[in-house]
Amino acid sequence: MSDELPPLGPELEGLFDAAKSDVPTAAAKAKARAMLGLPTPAVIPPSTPTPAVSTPATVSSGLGMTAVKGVLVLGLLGGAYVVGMRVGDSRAREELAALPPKTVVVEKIVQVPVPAEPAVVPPPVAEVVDAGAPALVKPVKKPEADQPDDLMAELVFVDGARKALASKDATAALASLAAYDAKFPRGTMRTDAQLLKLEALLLAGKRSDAEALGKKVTTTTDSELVRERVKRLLHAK
Amino acid sequence: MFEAHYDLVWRVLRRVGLPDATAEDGAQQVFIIASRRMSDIEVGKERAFLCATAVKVAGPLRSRPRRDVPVEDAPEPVDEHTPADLVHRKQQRALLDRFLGMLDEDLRTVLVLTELEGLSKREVAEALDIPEGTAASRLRRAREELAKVLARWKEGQR
Repeated sequence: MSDELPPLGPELEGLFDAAKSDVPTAAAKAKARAMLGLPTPAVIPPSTPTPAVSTPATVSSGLGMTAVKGVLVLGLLGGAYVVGMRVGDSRAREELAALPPKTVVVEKIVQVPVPAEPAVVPPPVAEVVDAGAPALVKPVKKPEADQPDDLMAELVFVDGARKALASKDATAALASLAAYDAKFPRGTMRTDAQLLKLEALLLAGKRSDAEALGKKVTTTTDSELVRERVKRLLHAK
Repeated sequence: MFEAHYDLVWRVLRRVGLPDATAEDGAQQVFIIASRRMSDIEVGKERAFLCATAVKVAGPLRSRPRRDVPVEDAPEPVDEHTPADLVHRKQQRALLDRFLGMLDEDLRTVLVLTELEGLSKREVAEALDIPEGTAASRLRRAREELAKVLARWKEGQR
């Protein structure tokens, strides 16, 4: 990073080298893939927008809501893109550009017959294993419901507010964000929620409240980008 | 993106202080957020974005009580036939985690992103939303602190 830095020394370099070879277990990676509704690389070609196809099968198979939500969010918001990025981010972006519009894909989903053996339905967590991975995975008892569920729940409120704002419904947006505040006082999407609230307050004509919130956000955030965003929002309206 | 960067995200989360199972949860969160922000991620800045998100996600997860790991998800015990170098590496990683745990969070994060994941000064600055000069000075302090920690540890070993 800089020539003027004090050297790490061979001992510390050795420790960092050891850490560089640290990787998650195949089971953990497979679990994450399943949670996100992504297929295993060996099953699905990179450019196939398959996560969307799997949605109805997932729903009908009665798997846990976490997996279902994950598939829905990714399917609607770019899951196919994420899958495609396996072969290289730039190439994946090109593949995304070549895909049909997202809404068309979604319409297709509903009409696609569910295959008897759906290839990419997120299976119960531990059954997903990389091809060639060591046999680390044992039979599943039940899918885990943990932190990503919280994030999904947060996204419901934040997305609700965003949609309400898009349709110029400040009251609904503020209601959704108030519910978010109450439920997730230290949520991961907190900053996003605050910025949306600021926008909603401006839309509702509550400029002084918006400015107060803007001041609060700018004094508590470490992010220059967030401060810029607040500034832009307050100056735009 | 998942296949290319999952290991990186998990590794960053582990080295900034999350235990195994929590790092897995955190990595999932990072990719969920990434999937939603895809249009905001500049081409070529995917790593910086993911690292920034990982650091952000790690914050609240640090204060989360340690989750009991079901037996079937627990890390495989080290086999008695595991090659010695694997065991050695595991010990080295544990030692590094111990050392990193003695640094301030800001210094630790910069050190992990640069020394471990090879992010450039500019990438670290972008990931943490700090000026490049701040990133450089944090790295310098981090290296100095880490050297002191190592010296103290060696002293204790005598």
